[in-house]
Amino acid sequence: MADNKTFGDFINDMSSLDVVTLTGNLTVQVNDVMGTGAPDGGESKPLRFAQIMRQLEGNILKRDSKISALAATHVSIDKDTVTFVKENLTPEEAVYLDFHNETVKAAGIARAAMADGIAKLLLGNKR
Amino acid sequence: MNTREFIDTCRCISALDFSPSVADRAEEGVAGEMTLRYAMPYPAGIGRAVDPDPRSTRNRRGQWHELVQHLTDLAYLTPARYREWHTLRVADQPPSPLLLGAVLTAVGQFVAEDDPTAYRMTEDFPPIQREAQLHWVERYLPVLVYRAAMYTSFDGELDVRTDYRVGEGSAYGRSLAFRIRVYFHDYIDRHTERRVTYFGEALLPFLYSLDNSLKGNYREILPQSGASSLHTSLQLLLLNAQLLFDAFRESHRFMDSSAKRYFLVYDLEEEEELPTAGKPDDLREARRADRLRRRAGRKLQQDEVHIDTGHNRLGVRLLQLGLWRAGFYTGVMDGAFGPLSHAALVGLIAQEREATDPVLRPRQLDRLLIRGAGAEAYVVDLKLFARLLGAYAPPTEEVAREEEDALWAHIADAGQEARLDEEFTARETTFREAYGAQQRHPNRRVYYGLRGLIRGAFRAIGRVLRWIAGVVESILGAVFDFVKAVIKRIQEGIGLFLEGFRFLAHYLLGHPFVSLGEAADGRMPVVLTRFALDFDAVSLSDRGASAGDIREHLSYLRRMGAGVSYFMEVATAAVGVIAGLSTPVGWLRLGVLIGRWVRGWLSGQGGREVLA
Repeated sequence: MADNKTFGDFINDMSSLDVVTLTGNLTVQVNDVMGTGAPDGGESKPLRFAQIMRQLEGNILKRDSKISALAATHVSIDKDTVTFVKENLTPEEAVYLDFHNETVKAAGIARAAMADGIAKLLLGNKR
Repeated sequence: MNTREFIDTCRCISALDFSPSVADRAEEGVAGEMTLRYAMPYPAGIGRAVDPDPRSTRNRRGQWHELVQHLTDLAYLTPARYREWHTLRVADQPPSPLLLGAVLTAVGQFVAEDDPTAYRMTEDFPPIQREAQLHWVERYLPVLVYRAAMYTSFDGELDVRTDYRVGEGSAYGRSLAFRIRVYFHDYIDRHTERRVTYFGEALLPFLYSLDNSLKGNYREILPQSGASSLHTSLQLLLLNAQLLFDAFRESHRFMDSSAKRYFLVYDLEEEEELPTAGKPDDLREARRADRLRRRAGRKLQQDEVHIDTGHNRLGVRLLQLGLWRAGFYTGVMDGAFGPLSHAALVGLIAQEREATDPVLRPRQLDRLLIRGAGAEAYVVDLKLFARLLGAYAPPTEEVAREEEDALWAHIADAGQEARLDEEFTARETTFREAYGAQQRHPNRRVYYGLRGLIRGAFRAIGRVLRWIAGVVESILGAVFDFVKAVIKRIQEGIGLFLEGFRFLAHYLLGHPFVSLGEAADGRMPVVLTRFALDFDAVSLSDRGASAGDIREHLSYLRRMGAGVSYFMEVATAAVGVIAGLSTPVGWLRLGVLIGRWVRGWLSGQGGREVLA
């Protein structure tokens, strides 16, 4: 992050929240990611996280990856919320809209967590 | 990565530098280096904890073992489950679904019966789903072990409760019942797996036995039949073995101030050689040993000894507990002073001869244990023995911190910190038998009291240094204490820090949440969400992800969100501790410092203060 950033700078950054949900071709090869570790989610399948990330980066950077935006939400500091949704959603895509809405909620938690984490780091530095 | 680089990385994070290069270095330090250095998997998982690869999982596995021991002692798990657990442990097998289910049920019961304030910042324990319960235990394992260990501690870790009611169904009630079992249960003649779960009316008579062993000094405060409360002095005696031992000494008049001597006499079926103070060919020492034997023989003939140390052998159990705490006794606290107790005492005496601050002079150590003339009997001077055990009693938190610092200062001064870092995990494997082989001896227990372990190691720092230097010698005693003290710090501190770092990485360092869906045609759909520091969020999903895959991902996001406040505090504080180090230290020392912060935090004292 920017050098010498203060808590106040972060607060200013918090004035709005943008959540974007994208869909595309995003798969990983099973054999390449099976290993002794679990993914970062701590889920039950034994997987190699680093390998997954490498594959994903490769996929996303491909010219033909065909990633498209499905929905975007802008939440301003006064809680005014605007959501843009792709036109003519298919029934299959409706599930992603729920996903998007849930992510907006999770982003709110994330924002509080980030602010809390930064505050605690600053508090620690002052002691 | 070395610790200097890692400390620098933590300083960057502390200075709110969350740039990708810092995030990458932090990830390398935590997920790469720490996982191997501390034998703790990142992220945690029972599946990984029983992974046969010993490099990255042993300490997590050890923490599960400790949890199972405490839950068994508190009667949340049956002794049969305990045996099963250790049988599988030795075979490097994961627990069966049935066994794991029993452990999870036990955890649920324990959390429900524990003080709720200890869990005010954690999520609620999931009531039904096994998978969710397992995630909860994985996440809060260090907290659980810390709490459960208090209830089985003999070191006064548990506070007396003025509002305790006899018969109440609480973890505290189980803790009191556990102590009655340890002090009065006869493991040899009347062994049974049936246990009274909570301290209650049925166990009140044992308090009368206790009072008898203490010569009636507590008669006036003994509860009558039907009593609902238990005097705090009696609770305190049960919770703190040192206080109980002191009360026993006082009532049997073998305090230091007592004029008369007090002896324990025991027989061994097989002759064993006692250690001698001097060289074997030292004629003067041999004569002296002979004189001591004859004197012991006269005392026996004159009947100046008290063979019985309490009709329920409480005294012997307390001696065994002292030897166990000092890291020498691996057997059961059964009240029978047999070969294991004898060997432990011999080991303790030998170690005391090289103690940094001896409480007994060499001549006194010679007199502590002598073989009776013309018989197999051994005579122990209990006044001297008690004084020696007193030196191994757990110190206060403050003194323990000073002694721990002194230990590490000695290691650094001896230039052995790097060697310890490199070899610790590998040499830890040589301690397997010292843990007591519970799969064969399910009534044995491992001592996990941190303050007592630090004291034991501190009393013979020289031994610890020689062990690090690779000089072969007995590992029981100070060396075993030292190893367990380091492991305990790492399990508790690093276990919580690694979990906490996941939150820090996701919420501050831009690490995406990634879920993999059900595979089709050899490929798995990916669903990921990344929160950026400017509070934008991006979700990216494969078009082939099913509704179930997305639900799983959302559930993952929700779970992380639920624990975020708790773990963010742990992670940021630990990063602050590391960033605050003025000079680089070894990895183990670093782990100990983090562990010290975590313990202070868990105890409610505040972590940073305990590092001062």
